[in-house]
Amino acid sequence: MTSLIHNAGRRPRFRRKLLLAAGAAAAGILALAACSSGATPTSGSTSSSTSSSSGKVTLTFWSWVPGIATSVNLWNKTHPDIQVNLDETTSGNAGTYAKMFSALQAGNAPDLGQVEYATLPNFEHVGGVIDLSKYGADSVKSDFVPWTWSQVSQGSAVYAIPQDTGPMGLFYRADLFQKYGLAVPTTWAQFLSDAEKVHAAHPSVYIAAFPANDAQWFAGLAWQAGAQWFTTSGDTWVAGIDDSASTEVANFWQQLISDHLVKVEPDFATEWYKDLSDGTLLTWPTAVWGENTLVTNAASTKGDWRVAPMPNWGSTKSNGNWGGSTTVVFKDSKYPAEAAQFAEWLNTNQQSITSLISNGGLYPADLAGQQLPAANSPVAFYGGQNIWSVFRANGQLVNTSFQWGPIMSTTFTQMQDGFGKATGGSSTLAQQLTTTQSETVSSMKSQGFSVTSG
Amino acid sequence: MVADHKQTPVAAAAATAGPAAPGRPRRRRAGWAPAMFLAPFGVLFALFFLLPIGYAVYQSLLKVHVSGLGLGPSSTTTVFAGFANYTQVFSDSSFWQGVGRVLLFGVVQIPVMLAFATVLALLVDSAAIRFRRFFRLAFFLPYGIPGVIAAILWSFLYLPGLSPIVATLQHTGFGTVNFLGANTTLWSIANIVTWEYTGYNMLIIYAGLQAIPTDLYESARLDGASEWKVATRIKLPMVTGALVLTGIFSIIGTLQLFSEPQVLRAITSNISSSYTPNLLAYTQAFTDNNPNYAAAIAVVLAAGTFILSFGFLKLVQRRGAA
Amino acid sequence: MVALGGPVRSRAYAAPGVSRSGILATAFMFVCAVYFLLPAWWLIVSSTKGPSTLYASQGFWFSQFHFMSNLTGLFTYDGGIYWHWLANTLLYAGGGALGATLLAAAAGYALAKYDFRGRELVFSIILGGVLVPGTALALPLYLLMSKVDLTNTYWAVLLPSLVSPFGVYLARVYAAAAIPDELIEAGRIDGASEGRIFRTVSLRIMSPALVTMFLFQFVAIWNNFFLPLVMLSNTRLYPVTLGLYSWNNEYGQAPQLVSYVVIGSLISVIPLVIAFLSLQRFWRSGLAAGGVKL
Repeated sequence: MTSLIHNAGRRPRFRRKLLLAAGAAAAGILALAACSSGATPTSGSTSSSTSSSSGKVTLTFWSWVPGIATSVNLWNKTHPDIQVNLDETTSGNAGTYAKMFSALQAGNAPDLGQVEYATLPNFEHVGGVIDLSKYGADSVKSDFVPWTWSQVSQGSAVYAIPQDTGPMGLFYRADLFQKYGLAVPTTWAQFLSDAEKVHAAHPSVYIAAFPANDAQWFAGLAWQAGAQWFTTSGDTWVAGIDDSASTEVANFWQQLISDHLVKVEPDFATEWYKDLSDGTLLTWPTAVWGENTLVTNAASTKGDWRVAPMPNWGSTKSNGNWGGSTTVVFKDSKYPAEAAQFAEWLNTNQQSITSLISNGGLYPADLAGQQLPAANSPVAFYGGQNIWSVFRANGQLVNTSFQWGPIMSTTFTQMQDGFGKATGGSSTLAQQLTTTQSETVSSMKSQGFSVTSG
Repeated sequence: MVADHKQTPVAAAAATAGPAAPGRPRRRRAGWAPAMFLAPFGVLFALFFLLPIGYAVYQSLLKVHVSGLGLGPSSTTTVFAGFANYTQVFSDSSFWQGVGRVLLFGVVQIPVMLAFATVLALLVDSAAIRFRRFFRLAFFLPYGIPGVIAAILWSFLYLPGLSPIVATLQHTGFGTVNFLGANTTLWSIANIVTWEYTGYNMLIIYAGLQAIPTDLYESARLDGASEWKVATRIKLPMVTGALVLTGIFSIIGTLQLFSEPQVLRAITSNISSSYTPNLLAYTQAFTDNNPNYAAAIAVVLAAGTFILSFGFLKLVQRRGAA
Repeated sequence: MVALGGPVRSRAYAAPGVSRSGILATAFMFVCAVYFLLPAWWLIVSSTKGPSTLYASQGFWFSQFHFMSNLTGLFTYDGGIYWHWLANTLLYAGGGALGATLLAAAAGYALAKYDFRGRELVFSIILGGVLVPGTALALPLYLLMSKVDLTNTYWAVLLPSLVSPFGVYLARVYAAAAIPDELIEAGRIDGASEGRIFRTVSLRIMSPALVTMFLFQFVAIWNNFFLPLVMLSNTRLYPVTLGLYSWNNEYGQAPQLVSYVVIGSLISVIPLVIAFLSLQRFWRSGLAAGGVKL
């Protein structure tokens, strides 16, 4: 300690200068604190509905969809008595779900929230979402793609209003397919032979990437193949993450990985964007919303991409879904009727949907919305192809009986950790599916769920 | 975690509390004044240090119990679980793998960093080197960059197909280096930490060297001792205490490694959700919605850290007494 | 070893750079400097490039010059949210460190200058707080804050940052050594209250220690990634570190974010690096205080 004292004592002038600096900084901070507390009194608050004396209702809404503010503003303009306060958050799996769960526990959740289909059962099982059938949700049932409605309802209860969907398709580089003399694959077997052919001739070119970090992508592929990860039998969950369809998909990609025919890399990462732009990757099997990802992140390839239906397993046509989310009303809302009204409006009003399509890159779950010009016209980036019609047609093929389990975020994490090991070379994707299955079952058992392996 | 690396001197100074404790109390009638001075800090300390510790212990003894399908409002209940969460932590292989990983990391990275810092400090202290002021500034500069930003910065330099470093190595005949492979990722993280804190540790050691009275080694020089001998026989022993201490506290900081792996997870699949114990606790709380288990991990981690640092405190005090 | 006549020339007095080992050592130092400065150099160079040239050009040298458009983009993206982040950072780290310093100064002063029962116990508990890892506290703090509806507010980050056990330690040691009892006694004889003596006499004497305390706490808060990550979901409340981290994960929404992350990192660290380098001696004195004693 002595040297501090000693040193400081020896430099009185330096000391004063610093003190002045600290004082100035302090003054600045105080001014700043004053102005920021004045400027944003509500944005920092998670508090639920508040009502002023005039009878005006204010609802809080947590969402991360880019540009959703446009829809919210539209609502606020046309509904002066029900004002919606939007809190823009990070995406659900980046921590917002956890924050929703703990807010529910503490009894101060927002009125409305963005929740993906896969996570909805999580919220149902903690009793966090309000049954909207009490507020007339059934009246909009026929507006939506049938499988989405079956994912948001349990019996007669309706726990969310569907917002968007993610029917899958194969985005491919038409120019490079032609250049390398490849045929657009209609089956996965052809996909494999294309992969071999192009990689043999051009070792730095791959048919696709394998993102070990993205279990939801894999889920979409398994869904297409007819997987049934979760079903219920009476009061018991039946888990089948390593069922034969999923294992078939895993073995298929394992072969591509082992033969170095796909590039193993995380998706939605810098290098992956580069690979989509520079011809390293020839295809991207993905959901309809991937359209926007390519337009934004592979701008230099304008006119080169096209969309084809997903390659099939054998001769049966089928499709999977990746992503999509819903709007829920949380149990703590003091104005559930008003919140339900907003949730329905947000996802069925054509102006709102148009904005969600063009600003948020969403593909609506609302059937009429799918006919809107914003989601049903040729796209210049895709060489003038009306890619939407491909997705609309193939959206009909999505297997409607696929069901999510109650702890999907845990399952996804376990699968991603496992796939990381598999691509690291220490095991295989199929082995890791089995590991994920047993880990998920034991996680569920330890929480008290009644569960068996399918 | 980064903040804890940077707290090294904090703790280091604290360790001197015993021997350096202030002199005898000079005032006898205290009255209410000390309570008034202590109250603002004391209240916040109780609220934000003591209460969370107690609350974590309490949470770690609970468990959410689900019945049947777990659907619907009344199917979940919070029940007392005793030490079930702790039993689970101690039998959780991913927890132990994480602990093993950070220990391995610490055992390699910390000695390397401290040796590097010592060499730099000795050289910066040596009259034979030119531009010493420039070097000191250059080495200290990374410390001004917070851990998250340093990790983002290095992640650009690690990306296999894009990194200028990878490209340069390739052009100069070193072949393709993958900084983010299954076996290299841990050492790439170690490099980030080394880059950030070497200069800072250098400064601690340099401060120690500066405090050595010059006549102590001037006389040795006059006796014909070489610069090397002066450095190893006179200078180094004077700063060993500081070195050992910063080393141990770096190990404790390493046990809490979080932001660097969390940032790099976006660009490699070789960092799992349980890569370090802290990452596991974060995943449990914020992805798996299992705050009770996360609380148990946090308590185990805090207890382990506390025992390590407190044990070392005792060790140092005994050394000081000897 | 006794020098037998003749002046023994110490190497320390040799003309710098003359000896071969000196040249070698200086060369080694240059290599090390390259290691420490290269990433910073990359950051500067890359901040002048657009998102498309960032990877298309040699990483360590300039290409097309887009510095100004990057800068404009950085400050206008998402309604100028970067300004919020800078202001928040100043509030959290600056305001937090300032508050923590004053609270710790008062507490340390009380522990140094007054005798009361349980004093050493209180001091030991506070010292124990130094050894508790901050990350272990963040999770339970989050659950607690959630109970009182404070998560996702400025307070959630600011309040815990106001507690600096190490500051109390520093303040106690410094006050005990530097404030003469006679001065306090003289104040009392003049009829000044205890609080007034502290404000007008003691605090002034303690000011050099206050600066060191402020610096330590400032760095601790500015580096604390975990706490805001856990506490905040509204992006408007983020500090700059968390904000850049979130952008770093959102390239998919807007590829120009790559450039904004690069230039945003540069802009946010410039004031810090300058302050750190110019205050180096303060670090050193504070560090010496801790380290050398052992």
